Formats: sequence, structure tokens, C-alpha cells
Amino acid sequence: MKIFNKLNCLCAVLLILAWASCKVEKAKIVSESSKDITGTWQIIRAVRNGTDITNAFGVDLTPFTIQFKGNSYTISNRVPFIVDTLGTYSLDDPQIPASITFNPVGAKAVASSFYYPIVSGARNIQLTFSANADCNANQYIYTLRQVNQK
Amino acid sequence: MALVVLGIVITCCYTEVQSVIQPYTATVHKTIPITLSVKLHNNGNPYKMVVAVLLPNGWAGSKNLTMDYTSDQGDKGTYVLMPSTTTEPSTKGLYNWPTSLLKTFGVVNNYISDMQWVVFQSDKEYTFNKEITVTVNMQLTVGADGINTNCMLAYFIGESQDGLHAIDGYIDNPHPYEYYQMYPAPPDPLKPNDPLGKIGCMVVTGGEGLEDFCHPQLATADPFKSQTDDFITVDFNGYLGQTLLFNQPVVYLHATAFDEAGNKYIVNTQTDNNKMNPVATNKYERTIWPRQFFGVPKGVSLKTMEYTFTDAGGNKVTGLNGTPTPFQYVFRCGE
Repeated sequence: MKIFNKLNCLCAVLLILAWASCKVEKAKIVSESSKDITGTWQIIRAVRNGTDITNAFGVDLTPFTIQFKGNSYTISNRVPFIVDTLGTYSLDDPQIPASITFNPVGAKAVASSFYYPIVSGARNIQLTFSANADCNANQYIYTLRQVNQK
Repeated sequence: MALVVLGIVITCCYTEVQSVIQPYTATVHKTIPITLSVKLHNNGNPYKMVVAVLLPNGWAGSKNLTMDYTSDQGDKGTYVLMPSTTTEPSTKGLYNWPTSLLKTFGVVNNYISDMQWVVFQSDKEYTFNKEITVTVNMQLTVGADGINTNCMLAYFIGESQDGLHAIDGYIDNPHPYEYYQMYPAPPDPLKPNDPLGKIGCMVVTGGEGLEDFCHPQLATADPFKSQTDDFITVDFNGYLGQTLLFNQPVVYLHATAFDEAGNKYIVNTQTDNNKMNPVATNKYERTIWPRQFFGVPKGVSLKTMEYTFTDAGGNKVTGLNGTPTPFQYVFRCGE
């Protein structure tokens, strides 16, 4: 009986010690990271007015690349695109961008919605635009992926 | 102990277009009336009535179509354009109404895809648990783009809560449509034996050129409205008739483009760069980027293009109606 009472007291003391050692974890506020699109990107999907033309006979988008570096971009192997020459660019919000504005050299600035999902472990960029300045007759949606990403 | 089973019959829910009255001829930039009579039966859940019309893109339906309604219950009001951000309920947030209707019904009986569903909803929600009859009165200004058009309109009646909900069995016989009905333009009652009348084709004149949605075309260039830096898909539908190219093993696209200064850019040989791809028996397709296809310098815009199709030897030249006369294409910006 005495041994039982001593065990009870020991358990109670251990419980109190365990409770006292618990610390309340303060919730950490994690801020959204800035989105960095530096690198060379290629087109993996092209949709025109809702029709997928990525592999349409006569269309070859594979040589095209756009390289983002600092606040500048350059284009290689031009295809119908939101811009046709190099220039600068900016995102409306570096942390949660919803649009990107291109400022091509010698031409008017033009903006596109900017969708930046993670697909199969890698970032895609999705741009929506008209390929001809001053005419919104046809809508293109291009999905870009960084070169060397599978 | 006898077991008495009570059969509970649930009576509910159907949509039924009773009539569509529309003209079958019109003039560009003029306004025509269209009247629909629709029977609706609901189960008491509130909803807004949804009405949509399939129209050529060039008519800019969101700016040129208005509609209002009355009902046999004394209701009256107007329809307002469905916000483009409102998703069609059955897609669970994936597509807005115009996109969902286009994916489901396409361009119905038309042969060119240059069309859109223009979607409206009633200005108020309604709750009813019986059959009512609604009259929809539309005013449509046709041919905003000034182009002569033959096209077959189509109509959609539905409601805002369920959208393109699959049939779930609560249909009252003999009404076959539950949550919605898509109703192609009926034949012209005044010309039931006319080739255009019997397919419900509306003929709009007084403009320029022709965009003919009502007939399969020997050749098409899609989009109908595009410019020098668009991707244009050219189709040769040789299956439509016994042209010189019928059953040819290989077909090529010959074309001449003209820029705004009148300079010509000619593609008239037979190489891999203008070879057409067979997509079905006697049907060929190729997508071109005009600036690249014709070698047009940067800063120069094309105005028109004329094109034909030919065999490997370049001799069996096939254009309009199977003759050597080229098909014409005008580079333009649409509405």
C-alpha cells in the first residue's frame, strides 16, 4: 500500500515536470517569397482561341526561347508572341504576381496575365495575349517552362 | 401482415422551348426581333433563368443583343449579360458560361468555328413549383463587322443554379429536357424546301465579302479574322467534290500575299514548307505563320492573300469551286 502511494506521488511529480517543460510554440508568420523568373524559358503549349495548336502541322515552337535576366528579356527564334523584340519587363507584385508587363524596345508596353503554377514539380509560366499589336481578335495562351526542366 | 408500399411520384423539373420566331434574311447593321416561348417547371429552388444565343464572333453579340421577358405569372424584366467571371456550375469552377457552352455544344450545325455563345441571365431570381411559360423578346443587331454572312443561330435555355447538370431522372414525361435545352434555329417556315431555308440558315446581306457558316467549304482559313503575326490554319476539304486533286497522294498550298504597299510575296513551288498534311481521306491541313511563310519583313503588314492547292507536279491547280481561280483571304482585325 505504501509502495503504491509512493508510486502515485512519483507519477504525479513526473506529470507536473512534463507539463512544466512544455513551451507554447509561437506561430511564425512566413512571408511569401519573391518570384524569380530569371532563366531561359521555352514554349511547351500554345492555344489559339481555345484550340491547342502546339503540334499543329506547320507549327514549330521548339526553337523559340525567352531569357529573363535582371529586369530585361531577350527573345530567340521569334514566333507569334506577345512581343517581337527585346526589352524590359516587370511583375505587378513580386511576391504574388498576377500580371507581367513587357516594355519592348521601340514599341508600346503590353501586359499579360501571369499565372505561375507548379506543374510536376517545376514552375510554368502561362501568358495570355494577342499576337498582333492593337488587335485583340485572337487570343493566345502560351505555357512556358524553363529549358532543361522535364 | 400485408405490407403496403406507397409509391411516391416526384413531379418536377423540365425545360421546353415551345417556339422560336426569327427572321431568315437581314441586312448588316440592322436590328431584328427574335421571340422565344419557353415552358419551365421547377421544384421551388430559387434561380435566375439563363438564355444564350450562338452568334458569329464578328457580330459582337455582347454589345449588339438585348433581351427582356414576360411570363404567364405576370413576371417581367430584362436579361443582363452573364459576367465573364461567373463559372458554369457543372464545371465546378473550371469554365465560365460561354466557354462551357462552346465546349459542350460547339458551333452546333455551323461549318466555321468563328462563333461564340453570348450568355444572359434574368435580372431577378425566381422561385416556383409548377409549370410557367416565359416569353423572351430579343433585339439583335446583325453584321456589326459589315461582312455578308450565312449562319445558323442556336439558342440555349437553362438556369443559374444547376447549369449543364446531368439528367438525374426527375423528368416529367413527355418533356425530355430537365435542367436545360439547346435549341438550333428551326427551318424557315416560309421556305421549308429552300436549300437554306430547310436548314434554318439566316442570310445577311448588304455588306462586303462572305463568311458562309451554312455550307461546308472546299477551303477554309481559321481564324477568319487574323493578321500577319497570327497562326492561320488552312484546310482543303477535297472530300467535298471531284476536283482535280481527288485522291491525289500529296497536296501543296500555293499562295500569293500582298502587303499594304502592293508588294507581292509568292509561294508557288512544292516543298516541305508548303506541303499539306492529310488529316482524313481527301482532307488536308497546314498551319502557317504568314510572316514566316511568305518571308515578310518585320514592320510590314499583309493586306490580302489568294491561294490554291496543287499536286506534286504543280499542275492540278484547284481553287474556288474546283476551278483555278484562287480563294481570297483578307487580313483584318475582328470585333
